[in-house]
Amino acid sequence: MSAELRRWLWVGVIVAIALGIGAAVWLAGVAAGGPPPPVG
Amino acid sequence: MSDLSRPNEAGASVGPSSRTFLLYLIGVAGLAFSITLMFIEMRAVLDVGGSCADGGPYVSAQSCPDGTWLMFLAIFGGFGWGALALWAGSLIGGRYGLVPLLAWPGLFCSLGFNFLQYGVTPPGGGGPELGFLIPGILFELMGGIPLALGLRFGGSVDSAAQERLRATRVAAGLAPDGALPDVSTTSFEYPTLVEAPSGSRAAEPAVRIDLANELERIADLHARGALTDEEFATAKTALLASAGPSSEGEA
Repeated sequence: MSAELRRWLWVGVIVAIALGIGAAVWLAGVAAGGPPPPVG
Repeated sequence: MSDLSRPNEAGASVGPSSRTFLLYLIGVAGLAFSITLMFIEMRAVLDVGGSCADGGPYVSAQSCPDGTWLMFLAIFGGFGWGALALWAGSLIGGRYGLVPLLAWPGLFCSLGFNFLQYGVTPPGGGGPELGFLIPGILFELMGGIPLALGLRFGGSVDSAAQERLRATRVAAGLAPDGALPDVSTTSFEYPTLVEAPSGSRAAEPAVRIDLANELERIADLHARGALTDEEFATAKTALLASAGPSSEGEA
C-alpha cells in the first residue's frame, strides 16, 4: 500500500466518522420531532 | 497488527482490494453513527430523570421521550458495524486495524460524560446526584484505562509488527520500506536461451530435451503417415546432425 493511499485512507476515516456523527444527529433530530418551527 | 496483503492468483501480495477499503470506511462510519446516537438518546432519557418506560399493561410513571427506540438500533447496530470495521481493518493492517477499537473508549467516555454532567447539575435541580456521578466515574475509568493502555502500548505493538515486516522484506531481497512490487501488472519474459560456447556442456540438458521432443514429433508424424520412410530418415539424420556429436550416440 503506497504512502499516498495511506494518507487518503486516513482522510477517509475522518470523513467517515464525520458522516456517521452527522447522520446520527440528523436521525435523532428527526425522531425527536424535527426542528422547532420558525418563530414569527 | 501485521500488514496483511491480498494474494493474487500467482500468490504474490498486491494489498487489500478497494472493496475492503470501502467496507472498512462504512464500518467506521457506522460505529461513529451508533456511538453518537447512544450519546444523544441517553441525554434525552437523562432529561426526564434517567429512566423511562413505555408499553405493557401498566401505566408508565415516566414515558420515554420520542426517539428513545433509536438507542436499541444504536446498541445492536454498533456490534455489526464494529465487527465489519474490525474485520476489514485487520485485512488492511497497520494502525487501521486499531481504529475500530477506539469505539470502546469512545462509547464509555462519552456516556460517562453524560452521567457526570447530569450528576453535577441534575435535571430536577438541587445538589450533585451521586446516582449519576458514580456510574459516570465508573464509565470514565472503563473507557479511559483501555485508552491509556492502548495509546501507551498500541503503537509499540504496531512498531514491532512493522519491524518484523521490514526484516521479512530484507530477507526476501526487497527494499525495507515502501510498497511491495505489484507483480499483477509486471510483464514476465522468459529468459532467452543462447547457444552455449563450443565445448561447454552447460546447455546440453535443454538441447537433449529439445532433441528428444523433436524426434518424438517426427516419429509421431511418421507413424501417422504424414512422413514417408525416406522423409523420416532424412529428418532424423538432420536432427541428430544439428544436435552435435555428443547427442548423436544417446538419441
